[in-house]
Amino acid sequence: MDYKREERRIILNRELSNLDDFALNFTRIVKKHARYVIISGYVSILLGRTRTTEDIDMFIMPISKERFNELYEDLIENGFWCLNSDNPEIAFDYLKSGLAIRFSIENMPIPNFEVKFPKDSLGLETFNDSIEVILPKGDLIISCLERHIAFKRYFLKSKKDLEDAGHIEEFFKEKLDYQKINKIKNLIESFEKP
Amino acid sequence: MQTEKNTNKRIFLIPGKTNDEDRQNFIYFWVHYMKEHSDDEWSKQQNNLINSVIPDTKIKSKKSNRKI
Repeated sequence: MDYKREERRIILNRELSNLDDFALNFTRIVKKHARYVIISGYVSILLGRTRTTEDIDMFIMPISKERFNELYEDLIENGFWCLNSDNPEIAFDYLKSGLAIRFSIENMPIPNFEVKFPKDSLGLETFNDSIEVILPKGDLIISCLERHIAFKRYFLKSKKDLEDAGHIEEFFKEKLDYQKINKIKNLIESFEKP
Repeated sequence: MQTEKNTNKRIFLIPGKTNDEDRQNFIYFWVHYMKEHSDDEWSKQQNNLINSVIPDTKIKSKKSNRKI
């Protein structure tokens, strides 16, 4: 695995898992319609963590209802379905309300993608410093490693999340910007204060 | 460092005194293993776990009837 920090790019010559195939197939469609960033647990799994997950979390940059309808129809035409509604307008309303919606292969609820709009500036910043992961059969956009560690360690905080952060920190420790982790930690804590 | 190196670069997993510590030590051990092996090698092992839980989702496009 080769992390080129300045280029915000990781070259990863891994054997693709069923989860990776699913992620590549879904994002090939999404990226035609919206900017996306994969966040949270799958980021650690893609980069080697020894666990799996039934869902992959994704931010998409807020888009209009019309553009969302096009995305929704493209997904349906390519064999995906939305677990929350078969009406794109309802699905869009969920997104606009700050809720996540899930897509999977039709009649196969696991694995699925959990798609949401970022709720605040912290979420929107995820798009500014994302990383491209180049895989043997495609590429994926993931959140930056410092942001990933900070959110896992200082916002989500479950045992699983702390271990996800620990894996990334241990693997990439020579290339991480610890000041950035601390800065994001402070932002997270300021957002949490009433 | 929660692992112990021997002369052949192989490291040994130190048993944790608690379950959390044991899991943490395994993370260090596994990351070391990843760094000592190619992406293809470590990912094959990781995929034994992932693919035992997550089904193959390769699908046919309704529109074109081709695999995407």
